[in-house]
Amino acid sequence: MRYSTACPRNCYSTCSLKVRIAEGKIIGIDPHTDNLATSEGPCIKGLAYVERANSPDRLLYPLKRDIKGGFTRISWDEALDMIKDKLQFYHKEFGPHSILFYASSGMSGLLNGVSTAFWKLFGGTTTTYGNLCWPAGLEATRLTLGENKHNAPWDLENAKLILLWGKNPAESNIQEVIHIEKSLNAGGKLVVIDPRRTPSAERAEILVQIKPGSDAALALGIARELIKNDWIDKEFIDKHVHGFEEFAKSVEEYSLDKVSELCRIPQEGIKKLAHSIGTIKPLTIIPGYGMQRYANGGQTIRCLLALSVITGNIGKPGACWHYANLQSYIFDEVKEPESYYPGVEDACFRRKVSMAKLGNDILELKDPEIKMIWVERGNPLTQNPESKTNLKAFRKAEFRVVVEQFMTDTAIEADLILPAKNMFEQSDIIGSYWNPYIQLKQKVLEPAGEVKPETEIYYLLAHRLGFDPTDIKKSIPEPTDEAIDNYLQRFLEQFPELSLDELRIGPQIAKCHEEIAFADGIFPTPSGKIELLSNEASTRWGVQALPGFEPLTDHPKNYPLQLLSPNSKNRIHSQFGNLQTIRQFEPEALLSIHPEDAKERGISNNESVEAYNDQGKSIIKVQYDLGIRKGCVVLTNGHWHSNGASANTFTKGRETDMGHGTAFHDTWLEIKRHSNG
Amino acid sequence: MACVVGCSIENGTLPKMNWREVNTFNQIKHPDLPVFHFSLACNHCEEAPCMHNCPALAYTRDEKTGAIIHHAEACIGCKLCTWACPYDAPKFNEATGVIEKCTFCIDRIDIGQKPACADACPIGALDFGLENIPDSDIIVPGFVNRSIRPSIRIVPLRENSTSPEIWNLDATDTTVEEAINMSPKPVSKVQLSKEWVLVVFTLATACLVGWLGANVIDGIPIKLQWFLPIGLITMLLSSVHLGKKLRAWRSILNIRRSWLSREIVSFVGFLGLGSLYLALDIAVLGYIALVSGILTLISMDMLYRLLERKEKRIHSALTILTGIMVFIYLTQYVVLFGFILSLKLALYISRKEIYIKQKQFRHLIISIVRISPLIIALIMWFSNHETTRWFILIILLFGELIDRSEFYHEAEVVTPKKGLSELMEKYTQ
Repeated sequence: MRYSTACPRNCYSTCSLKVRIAEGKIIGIDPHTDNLATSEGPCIKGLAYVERANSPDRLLYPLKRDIKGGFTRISWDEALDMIKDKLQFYHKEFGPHSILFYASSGMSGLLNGVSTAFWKLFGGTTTTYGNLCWPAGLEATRLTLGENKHNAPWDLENAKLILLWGKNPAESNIQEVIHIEKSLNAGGKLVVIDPRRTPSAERAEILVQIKPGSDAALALGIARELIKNDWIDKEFIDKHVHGFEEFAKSVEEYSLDKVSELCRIPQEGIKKLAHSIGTIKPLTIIPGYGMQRYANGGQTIRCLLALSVITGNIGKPGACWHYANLQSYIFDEVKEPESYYPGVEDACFRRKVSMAKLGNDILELKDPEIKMIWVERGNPLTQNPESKTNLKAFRKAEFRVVVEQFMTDTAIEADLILPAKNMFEQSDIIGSYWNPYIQLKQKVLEPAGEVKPETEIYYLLAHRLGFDPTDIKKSIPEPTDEAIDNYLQRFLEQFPELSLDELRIGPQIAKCHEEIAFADGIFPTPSGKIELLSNEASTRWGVQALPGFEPLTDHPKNYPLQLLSPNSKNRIHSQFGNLQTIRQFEPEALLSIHPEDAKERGISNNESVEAYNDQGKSIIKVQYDLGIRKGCVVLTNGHWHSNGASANTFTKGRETDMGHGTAFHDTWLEIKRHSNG
Repeated sequence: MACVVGCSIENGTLPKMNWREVNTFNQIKHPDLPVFHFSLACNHCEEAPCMHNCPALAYTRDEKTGAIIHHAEACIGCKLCTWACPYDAPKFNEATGVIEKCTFCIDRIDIGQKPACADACPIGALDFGLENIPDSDIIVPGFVNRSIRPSIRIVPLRENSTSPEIWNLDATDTTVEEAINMSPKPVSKVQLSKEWVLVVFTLATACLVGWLGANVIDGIPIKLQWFLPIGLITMLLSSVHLGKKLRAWRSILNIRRSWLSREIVSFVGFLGLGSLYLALDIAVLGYIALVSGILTLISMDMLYRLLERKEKRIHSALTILTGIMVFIYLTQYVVLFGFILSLKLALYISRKEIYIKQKQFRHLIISIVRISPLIIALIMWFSNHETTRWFILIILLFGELIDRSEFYHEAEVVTPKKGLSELMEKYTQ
């Protein structure tokens, strides 16, 4: 049997899939051609669901930490009673805010709202604000354009110039390559700006191998050239742009020689690039999310976006700022990035810790201190910066519950592990931040072992804790397929064009979708125009009202190598890396390094070295790579500590300049030879 | 890698036993050269060398699709096909003791689907269908041996698609040669450490043939109680490296095309008839046995022609030469003996010339050790010391052992990985 479903991971592509089932098991994942953005099928991770769903390593029963430090299987009754006792105890003794509810982006879906509903009935908890991924860029875009949306993925085919600026879709959004290819085959031109020679750069005419963190300077230097040579769209600017005069003045100081020195690229190149950007239309800029994970990330994105704006490349076919497309997030009352800000949720959740500074914030909390931590859909001990501090904070709490499918770095620190459902075991509705589809992640299997979906765990706990049954009925669905469908149906009611029955067949597009975003010229900013000059940027974030370049300042002299931790095709954040399907290609974490940097330290290819900085150290094998800028090293995101090394051993918990994002890439380290003796 | 995973899920192969592999050119990313990938499994060649060389007839061609199908139940696990295929398609599975390889997903094709790899590629870079392959497509950099007519067409991305122009003021001036030296070398599929059994088997066979020849032609004594056990042990030894020893008998099935089958058949004939000849003393049997023996040695030498060698010359360790040398040694044709030793010496040195030119002096000491028996034997033979004759034989065989070991050590199998690595070397010139 083949069923339609969709991949609910935190990934651009959000592929529609057809899943093949035989004898109650997943036996294959096939392409779903109804999704025009992902019609050739999923990536290697999507295919790996066959192993992931059937893996012998999957956690199938509640596990309790035993005295020896291992885990013992217990019954659900025992597990739920234990949680109930703890919740009641901490609630009574220290108040509900002595409990931290931590949820991340491990699985998207409307049913995730049930978790919040439960904790609200409980009386609130301490929660998190901000996000590990993309908020600086979202906020930069929101401040400028008023909203985060872009043209449909296939509109890339209309672009004559594509600027992949810090994005590597060949690994992080593979199907985007199809649409880029079509543009190139029709005579389009591709320029990649990246400190690394990525697989995506292989298709480019030019790779601008820029110094990390200096992208804003390049954008401003290009803007100066565009304005100087009159390669700007005056009509568009007059009609739609607020603050152009001020912006034009501010870029004057970004002369070619200055920018060339800051970015370490030739002056001629900057001129040539400006000429292309100014004269080839339509232009689509595709910025990645890595570039905004610097302390100056938000301002950087505003600078890049200014190039699309002053050349009038917004709101037309092939002309687009391709950052995030939240058009399918039709069910959200508050969209990202505003949903990340403290103060937008119910008062009972007002006590928050920063995602970027998780460990330090937890350790600093007083009255009450954090006594209990509940983690679901996340693996903070791998993924949040400054692992050592997070582990300390995690261990300081008295009781930890982790809902997980596998024995992650976080699960292994739990007192109680609850087995989590996988994507095939409960239906849910998901959107995408790249393609425009609303999709049903369809239930195709009964949960394996004794797995219970989170909604059922909360349902049972709510009754055990004696919550008012009418309250429960209102916000927590009963543990039946019918109740889940009804829960989802309630969301669909406002959208008569969508129905569960049709979603069961394949992806759907809501009526409000704009194929060409901002074609109507409506920009929901305070001025109603595109805001190069944004007062909100100053008042809310304390940065200058104009886009500007802020050099990275936190560079300690004794750690000369800048650590980049980009996403790899092999994992989505910290998921999938434990599967044999993936491990056969990447059995351990590797530190990619320019051979010159290695040789200066007497380190040969494939040698194990000690990498260290003030945050921590680990032993890791180096891999020579002539495609990396000298002075940079790369350790891809998402390796578990238990798999050798995680980039977050070295990162420091700090927020980006706006949006409460995380400045992962403001990280420097040193390496030295490691003697086994 | 989605093609690799798609294949492994469809066919239930174990991780690292992938039938399909992605081969990368310029993995270290030298800035002057492009980085590109070849996703390859079996190309179902029209002139399939795996099928031609298989001694056990374990390969057939599917009538309908033209796919080359491997039959595990017929495979003896001799691994010859892994040497014969230039695309590294047949894979030996240590766990099962037999070869496995791409089936072209003929079951899927049967129901109108594409092979799993083509279906799995998320950007549609792999496809499947009936196409004429124009001659202009034949030359693809790094893509080995089109003469066997592989059923694959590689379409270049775009006419003007080259490596990106890179702007970076801090770029280093690492040369391609330095980049090659930094990169891990592709591992040769012929490893002496694994093939020592073949060294012993081939040498022993050559000696036996020479010995029996000396008896048949010149009446040099040879006893059945020596000949037969040595022959049987040699034969048993040759089956040690088979994944399926009990199916060893199947190795004679492809006498029509496989030099391996011919080698086995003629060796069995040699041993059987030779023993019969020694037992019954019927001269004609001796001659027939000798002819079988010579055919064995010729088959052996022909068989290994599918291995690739840097030096394209006659090898000094050919078994036929060893056989002749033993024969002449035993029959004591003085002039001929000088001739054969000098010939071997000349062939050896001429082979080493290429290594000396490439300044690979690592094996120089071994080479000296190898040629000294030839020289010593020559000198001692002509100074006519009767008492040292056994000594001469021992050092000569010792020299043969080194030479024959080098025969395997220096041999390589053509693979796409090696092809890509050699392509990179071309850019240093």
